[in-house]
Amino acid sequence: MLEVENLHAGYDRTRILHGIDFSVEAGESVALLGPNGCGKTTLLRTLLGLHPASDGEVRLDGRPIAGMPDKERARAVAYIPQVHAGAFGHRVVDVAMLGRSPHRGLFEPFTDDDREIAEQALERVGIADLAERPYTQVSGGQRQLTLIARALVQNARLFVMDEPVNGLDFGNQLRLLDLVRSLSDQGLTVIQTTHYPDHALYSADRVILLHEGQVMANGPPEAAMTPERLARLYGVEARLARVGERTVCIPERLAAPPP
Amino acid sequence: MNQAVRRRAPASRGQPTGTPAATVARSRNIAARPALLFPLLLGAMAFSLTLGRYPLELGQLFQALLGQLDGEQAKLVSDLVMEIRLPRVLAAVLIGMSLAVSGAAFQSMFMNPLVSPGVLGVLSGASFGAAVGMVASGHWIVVQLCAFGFGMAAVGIALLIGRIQRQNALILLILGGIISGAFFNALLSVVKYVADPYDDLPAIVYWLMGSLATVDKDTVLLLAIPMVIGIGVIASLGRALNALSMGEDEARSLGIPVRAVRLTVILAATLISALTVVMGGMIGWVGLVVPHIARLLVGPDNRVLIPASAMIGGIYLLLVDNVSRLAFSVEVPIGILTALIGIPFFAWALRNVKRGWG
Repeated sequence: MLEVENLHAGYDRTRILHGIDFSVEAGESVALLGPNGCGKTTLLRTLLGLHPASDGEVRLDGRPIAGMPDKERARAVAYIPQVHAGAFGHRVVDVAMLGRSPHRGLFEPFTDDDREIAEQALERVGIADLAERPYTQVSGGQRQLTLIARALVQNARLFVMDEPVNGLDFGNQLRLLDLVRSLSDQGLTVIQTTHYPDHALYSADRVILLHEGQVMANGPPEAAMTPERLARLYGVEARLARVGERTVCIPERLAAPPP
Repeated sequence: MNQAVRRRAPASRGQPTGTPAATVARSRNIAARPALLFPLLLGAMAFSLTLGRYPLELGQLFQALLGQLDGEQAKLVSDLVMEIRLPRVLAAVLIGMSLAVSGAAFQSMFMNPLVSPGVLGVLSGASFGAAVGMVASGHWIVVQLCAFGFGMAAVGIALLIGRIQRQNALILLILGGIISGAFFNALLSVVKYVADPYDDLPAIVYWLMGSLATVDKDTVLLLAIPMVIGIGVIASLGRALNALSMGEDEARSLGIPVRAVRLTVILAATLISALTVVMGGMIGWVGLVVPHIARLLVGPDNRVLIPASAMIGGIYLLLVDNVSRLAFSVEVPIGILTALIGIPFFAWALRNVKRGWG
């Protein structure tokens, strides 16, 4: 459903992405991994149509995303940003209801139907009881769930998530990864960035390793994340190990700096 | 209110009885609370019309408004109400509404509850314009045109500076406003320095304190039209402002035409803020204080907050103006009073910064 072809992008004179190619099938869950500054955020913003490509293009179901009106794109692609505090205490249900924006005219008021849809989405992510609480007064994990509910309300097919577990505690990280998994099992396409190889192993069908603005590897998590690549990406000697049913990533030590 | 929300029992949809369901029912009807403020505003207006050196009773007032007074005093009372008090009351309401609505809209747009309508330099530009008008001509219409023109120009400069770089558009816009405002403040000092110290300078200083003593009926009626339109435009964008208050990227990915909405809000807010200076000089702190009061009453949802800010802004400035014209033997410039009320309020409001708003 999503094709990225020879994508170049950057800011002013700094080129950040140098010819990215990959595609994502409907229903896949893809994790984007790479060190700080490798271009993950720029890639996400370009996928979302928020940042212009300087060359190449991103196509959604065969259509270039760059020329798509914001509203039409918003009905297909939802952005779930890193969890943030927000400046104002909008009620959780109102934040979720904003997902109805692309389905309504700019001046058209929301109706009881819209509210119903928002409440169902909150129910689906398990926070229906927080509907009336101010967004600023619920926990980080609950705020992230609210933003996911908003994406569900948006009724988008592709979810683009920027480090969805960032800043969450151990249990909430797992809860969120499980939710992401179940969303992709229900047929949604998910692209998430993450800093944790383990999270890619746990919840992604496929990983794309991003290194200095280029795709270093693209494939099933266990095959793509080789010790050599992890060492080049992060400067860490790490290996994948089987523990029971699961494969985990074990960091051994910092790799020797390259000569 | 927060207490009540916290205590609310979980998910009780579709049950018409009991407190939790009542909370839901009330909060669903989002237009209810600003609508309740409207009669309060009308009441405050009627009350203010009766106040003055020549006190009126409410009955007399309504007769005068409807043109039903007979007898000797009829002309006197009806002139007093229609020509003197009503224009001033309308001016106070319009200025209060405009400043409060601009402030509320800017606070959401800049995702910062501490910004005020002057953040992009409109008030500094308009003050400079008014001062230039007074020194250069002294004709009232020139003063007003200059105030309006330079207010708009100051924001234009802020927008140009803000466009230098594409990233961090909002912070650059605020910095552009600071630069533009500082520039026009410096120019204002130049004008004050060269102004005739016996005639022009006191006029400028008095203008900068803000006053509704000189408003006339024709100006108020003429300016009321663009002010009401500007307020209406901002109020109609309440939902878009909610999305904008989550940040530019999120708003755009929700399909909101962020740049168009932002520019519309800036233009409308600048227009109505500049017109408040044209009408009554510099009246500060209203745009900061009133949205806070409104948020405490109705929460941060701009669909409700903007109309509520308008109502409360009107009532607030009306009451302050009543104090300004009646409480002391000499009229106190209203801008001094709004500052004396607003600054301590601002200090108090800072306490809430960490807790989140509304």
